[in-house]
Amino acid sequence: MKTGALQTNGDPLAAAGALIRGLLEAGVVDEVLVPAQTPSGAVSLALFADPARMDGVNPWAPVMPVQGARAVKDLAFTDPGRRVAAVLRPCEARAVVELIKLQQVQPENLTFVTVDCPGTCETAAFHASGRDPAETAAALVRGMKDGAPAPEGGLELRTACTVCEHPAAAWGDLRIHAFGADADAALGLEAEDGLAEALAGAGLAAFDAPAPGGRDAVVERVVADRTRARDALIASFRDEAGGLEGLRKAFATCIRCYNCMENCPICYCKLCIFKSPTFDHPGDLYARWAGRKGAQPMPAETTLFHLTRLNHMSTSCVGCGLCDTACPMGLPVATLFRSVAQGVQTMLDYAPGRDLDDPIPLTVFREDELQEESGARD
Amino acid sequence: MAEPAKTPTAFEPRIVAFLCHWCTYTGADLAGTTRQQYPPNVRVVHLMCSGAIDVVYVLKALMDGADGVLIGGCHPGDCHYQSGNFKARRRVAILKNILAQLGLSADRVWLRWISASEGRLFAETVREVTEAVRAMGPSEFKTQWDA
Amino acid sequence: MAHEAKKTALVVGGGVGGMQAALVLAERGHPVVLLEKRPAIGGLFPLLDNQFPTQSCGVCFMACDTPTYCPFLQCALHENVRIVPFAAVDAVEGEAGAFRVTAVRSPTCVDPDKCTDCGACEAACPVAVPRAFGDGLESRKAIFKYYPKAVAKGYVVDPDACTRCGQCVDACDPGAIDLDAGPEREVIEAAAVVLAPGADVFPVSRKEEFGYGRYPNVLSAVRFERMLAAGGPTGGRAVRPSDGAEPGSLAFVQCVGSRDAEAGQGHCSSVCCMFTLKQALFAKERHPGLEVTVYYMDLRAFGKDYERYLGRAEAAGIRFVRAIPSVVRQNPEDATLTVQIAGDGAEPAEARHDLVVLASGFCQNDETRALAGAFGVDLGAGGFAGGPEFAPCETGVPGVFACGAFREPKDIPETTAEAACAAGLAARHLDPPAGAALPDAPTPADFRGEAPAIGVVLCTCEGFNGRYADVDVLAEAVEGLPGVAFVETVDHACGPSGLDAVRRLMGDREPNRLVLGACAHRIVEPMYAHLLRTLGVHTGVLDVANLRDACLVPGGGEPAARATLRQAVRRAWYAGFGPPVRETLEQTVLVVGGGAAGLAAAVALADLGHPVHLVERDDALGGNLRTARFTLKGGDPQALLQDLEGRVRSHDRIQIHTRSTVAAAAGRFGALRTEIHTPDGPVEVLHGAVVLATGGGEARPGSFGHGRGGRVVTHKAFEARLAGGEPCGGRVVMIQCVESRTDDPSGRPWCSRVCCTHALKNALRLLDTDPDAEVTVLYRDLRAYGANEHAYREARDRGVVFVPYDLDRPPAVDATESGARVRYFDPALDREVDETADWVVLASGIAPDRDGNARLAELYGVAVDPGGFFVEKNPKAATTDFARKGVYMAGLCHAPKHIEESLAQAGAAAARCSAVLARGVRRASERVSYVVDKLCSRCGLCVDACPYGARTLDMDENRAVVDPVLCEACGACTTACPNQAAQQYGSAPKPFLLGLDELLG
Repeated sequence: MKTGALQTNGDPLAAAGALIRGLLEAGVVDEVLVPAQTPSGAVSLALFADPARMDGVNPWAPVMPVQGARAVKDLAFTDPGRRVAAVLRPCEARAVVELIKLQQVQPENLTFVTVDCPGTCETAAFHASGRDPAETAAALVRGMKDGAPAPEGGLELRTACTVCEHPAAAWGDLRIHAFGADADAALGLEAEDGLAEALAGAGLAAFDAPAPGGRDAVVERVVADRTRARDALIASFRDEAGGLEGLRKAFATCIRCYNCMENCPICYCKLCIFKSPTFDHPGDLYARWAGRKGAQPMPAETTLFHLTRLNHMSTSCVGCGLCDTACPMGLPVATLFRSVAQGVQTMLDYAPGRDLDDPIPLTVFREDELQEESGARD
Repeated sequence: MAEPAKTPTAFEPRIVAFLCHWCTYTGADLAGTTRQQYPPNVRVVHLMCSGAIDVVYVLKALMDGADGVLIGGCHPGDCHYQSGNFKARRRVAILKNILAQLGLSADRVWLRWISASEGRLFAETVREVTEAVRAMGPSEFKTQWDA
Repeated sequence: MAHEAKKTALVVGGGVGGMQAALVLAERGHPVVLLEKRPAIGGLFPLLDNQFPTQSCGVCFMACDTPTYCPFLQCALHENVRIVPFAAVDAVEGEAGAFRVTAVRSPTCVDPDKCTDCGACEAACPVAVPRAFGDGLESRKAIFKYYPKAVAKGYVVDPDACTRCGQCVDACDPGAIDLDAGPEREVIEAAAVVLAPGADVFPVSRKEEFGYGRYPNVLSAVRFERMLAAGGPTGGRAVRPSDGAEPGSLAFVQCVGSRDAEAGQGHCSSVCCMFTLKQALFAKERHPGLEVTVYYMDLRAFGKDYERYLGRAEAAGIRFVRAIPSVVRQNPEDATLTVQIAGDGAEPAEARHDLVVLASGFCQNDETRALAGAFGVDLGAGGFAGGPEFAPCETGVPGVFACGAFREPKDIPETTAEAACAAGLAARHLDPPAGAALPDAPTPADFRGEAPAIGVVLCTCEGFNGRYADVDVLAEAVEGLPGVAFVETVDHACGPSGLDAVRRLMGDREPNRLVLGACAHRIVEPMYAHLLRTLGVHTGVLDVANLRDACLVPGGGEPAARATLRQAVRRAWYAGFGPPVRETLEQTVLVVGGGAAGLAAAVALADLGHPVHLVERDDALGGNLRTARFTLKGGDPQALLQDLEGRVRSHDRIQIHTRSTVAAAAGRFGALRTEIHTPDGPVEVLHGAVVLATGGGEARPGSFGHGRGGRVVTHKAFEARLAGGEPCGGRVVMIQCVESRTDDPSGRPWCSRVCCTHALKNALRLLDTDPDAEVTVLYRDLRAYGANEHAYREARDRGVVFVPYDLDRPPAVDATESGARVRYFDPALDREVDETADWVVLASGIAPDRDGNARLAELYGVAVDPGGFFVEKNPKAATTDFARKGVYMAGLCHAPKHIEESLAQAGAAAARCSAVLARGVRRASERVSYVVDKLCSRCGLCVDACPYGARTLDMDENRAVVDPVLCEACGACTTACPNQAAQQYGSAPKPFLLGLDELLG
């Protein structure tokens, strides 16, 4: 990796936009996937083929309506055969790492650009506020010099973002660093050697100067704050949702729309088992259950659905929180999943998205682990 | 031969045991043929390998009427499919971790290694599970119908 | 019997060796008669709950092909094996190709066709005698099973104990017992014979000084093994027999009946050190506070991974005292035992223990001597069959082969290897198996698409089902379930009458599903699968509900039985099975490595009918044999090399590629494709299996001044000097375990097994040529196992000085041009010795070709251990097999071993490989896994989960694909897949859940 700097000349968004557009212009890639303000004014992920369309590119858009990893999967479930750059936030990048391990993304022709992330707001709330995405984003990026900024105008970050302890770009071929940087002067860059050479050759960035300093300390402080917030959230959630009683209350209004699953970057199944013929029961079975317990909620197996989904994806859950955004009933899905995933990942000493070489936990085992599970004492 | 009659209100736990063909199922059979006494609360599901037990089956059993689930596999090193038991152990560990975090009865799920020659251990294990689950009372999934 | 001559093999002895030999032959397609003198097969094996160094059982890996399960059962159920228990050989006539062996069968007095295994006879019998199984730790009745987990219907009457009171006869409802039955004679016609009678455990009562038989708390190792058995009378707890109390201190006395020439037991029994370590570890695990002491002479942990096991025992706090007690006394006040040690010149010392276990060795008995005599097999001076060193398992009598402890005391890995080797030798005297020439069974009726018509058959057997559950109630519970065509009862489903009744029902009522409510799967499933096959019905229609276990529970079995039966009927509605897959197996075998093991494997395979490609890296064949000059037992390695090379070069089925290497490999078992780089360019070989015999060699030492001055040499170099008649006398110091048996991973943490023997052979050869030579051997444990112990004694008698050293006080050498200065601590003198030697000979151990093995492992999808040795499927029962089907190993690449052991393992690899290939075809399991394409996300989790490499991803079609021939139907893929795109015939998720729900009702 080579480090470098991106001069911003007082406009970090424009500078980052130019760099990203430059990937396309210089022929480093054939298309670029990046959040951008569309002509209608909304923020969306878009795949750009024509640099001329890239005016609204905004890698720090203050909302994340869809998980970029899902878009990357759509593009590269089979090798697209074209060079594509994907600009991702850390949670999206970590989900992509998991999806690469799960063969859902073929990365050979992909270039990953990741950015330090200040967090995002709930999409609906942001749009309702009428604020300008670019202005909000620029303010956030400037605020990252000293830590994790709060959005202007009384907006709040999504719950998942307030407890995200992975805000720094830590993976990817090109990483744009904003934490600790004076965004009006320069942003930090880190790039794979070959890519750095191409970018420098095209005059898009300089890799001979040292990166702006001070980032590590800021990241460390943000991570520490977020980790504390995370632990507090998990603790309070456990108090509230602990036990079946709490869980039932928390999920009493679940309408089984499956939106949480549909928007989860880790739920990659082509067809969920709960929508498959396995759970398409003969009618008399419901009657048997009702007979056994006296009553049977319909649709049935809602708790089973959530518990099974937890079992399937909690090892790889990156905590992006899009399940919260997707839930029409406003249930704390992300908090539940994040909370449980934390425990599972700690037990297995697994950090999703950290490293492509960390195997998916259920594909490996150690003979001497978890012996207490089978009744061993001490 | 018959045990003393239970009062109709006494709670008799229902235990579902998923047993691997090669070791625990055969151990259970040995418990039977060597006339080990164990409580009649256990209902056996025969599988080829403990590594073939899907957590969704375990959850389904717990939610639809089982008060406890026992998973029986070969001792480490004895799995007929090399490592099914180790894989099962990870899966069960994840399941129990999740249940415990949600304040659900993770201790209703038991994983034990019981070999084909350990009929006595099978009987002892069934006794242990049955008594432990009896002490926990009926599964909350049974008592709370809207779960 | 119907076995024709030239077809049948006779195996005498049903222990580990006999079972292995029988299974190899049977799987290869040869009918086998397995003769066992006891009422049940198993030999010593059923005593052992667990084994070293795996701390698990693992014999279930004995069969060559899958499914492989407990060999007792597998022998009992295999259609090619006929077990003749409780029988002895009386007379032998004929010769190789046409033996006529007369066997005398003692009466069991119980008709297995009538017996329901209910146990009423045993309960009724008023006689109790000590149970020989477990050396009398528990008692049994006069009508009994030889050991508790003996194969079903194993009841037999002990004629010596039986008082003929008739109570068992009255108690037996089916009338299976006939106390007047007499012995029967049977003539067995066999073309070849494998003798596997094993050896007896030394009766430790003969060593009166240890008090066995007089003091209750002195136990034989067999009795203690039984005590540690989970299913034994104490449930695996160690107790003091005097008062049933938990012991606080336990001692093992090694070499009782071993290394004891005065007792006529001059050999080392080879296994006692290891079973003591195992027993000590288990005792310590079950009683963490227990103090354990082992009194020993040398800790002979010389097998693969045994050194690590010894380290584990040391780490567990087991105390090792290098001294053999002279006497054990009981203290009358508390029945504790005082063990008295008389060390070498040291003051006698004493210690008190609660329990003393005598590590009994192996001896030979009169029955075995008579058996050997009947076949004309010579037992050597030590009482063991031995045989020619370089023709392992041959006896000198054509057509008669031997294996296991009958030849020499040995451990299970060597016994199973020899047994398979002997089976391979025997197979060469038999008609080739029909193999691929066998007509395929007609394709069974395919009922898919038909409406389910489920036939439910309930066994009314009084022994079990009828006991606590009402069969009518059970029938009622399923009569109305969807798809049920009929519910019928049969009596005694596991006997001929039950089978007949079901056969008629299948014909008359034509169900397309069969649910059998009876006993355990493993008992009835094979019988009924066979019945269905003969009827041309697919076995996938069968579902067994094990009502027996449910019905055995007093006071509550009926609901469980009802639920179990309903579960099976629900599942049966959806019964399914895979399409018939039948693939031809390529008969050619590739052998990699042209040393002793590779050459022997090539010859054996070619003799068994397989074309062989032999790949050797060097330009000459022979490997280590080329530089081996003599052995301890007197064999001539050069003659062996000449013989093997001659046979390989003249065999028309063997193609040799020297100066060649394996460059690439693809495909799988039955259809491998390997590219060999030869001097004439690449050659592609199509083959069904591969034997890796890449060897290994003496490690080059980097310590003790080796290579400086020329007087510090290795054993191999010294051997060459001795054989070449070069001067090497004077004062010679041999240093054993050089860079071996330590924690240093850059050295050889393992024991190399052969070096102690090499020291003995070089010392003795030196004394032969130069009687004035002075030889000192600095050693840690002198591991002269088996018959090598005789040579150890001889060496001491001839003046070789053996001085033990500890790792914390190792010897030191300063090499000079004319010799070396050697310093070491001598415990007998209790001082440091500083002397000059003319020669220092280093035992540097054996190392494998680490890099080469790693490369081959990658190519063939197998594993190597941290030392670079190949990892076998099971260290006891399948030492020649890899976990990956179709890949085998032999020789030093598996673990250090002697030439004769490499040859036996090569024979075993060839036989086991041939047993699988020779059938010509392989069919997929009926419960094979499959992919539901529309659900599959091709994430690859199933590929990672499959232990057999049966699954791959098709990146074009975006789905996983299954190779049905490789799939073992374990179900690992079905749980790895989050949305059950991976499914398995016979346990698809929907019927599974419906069945499960029945259990919850």
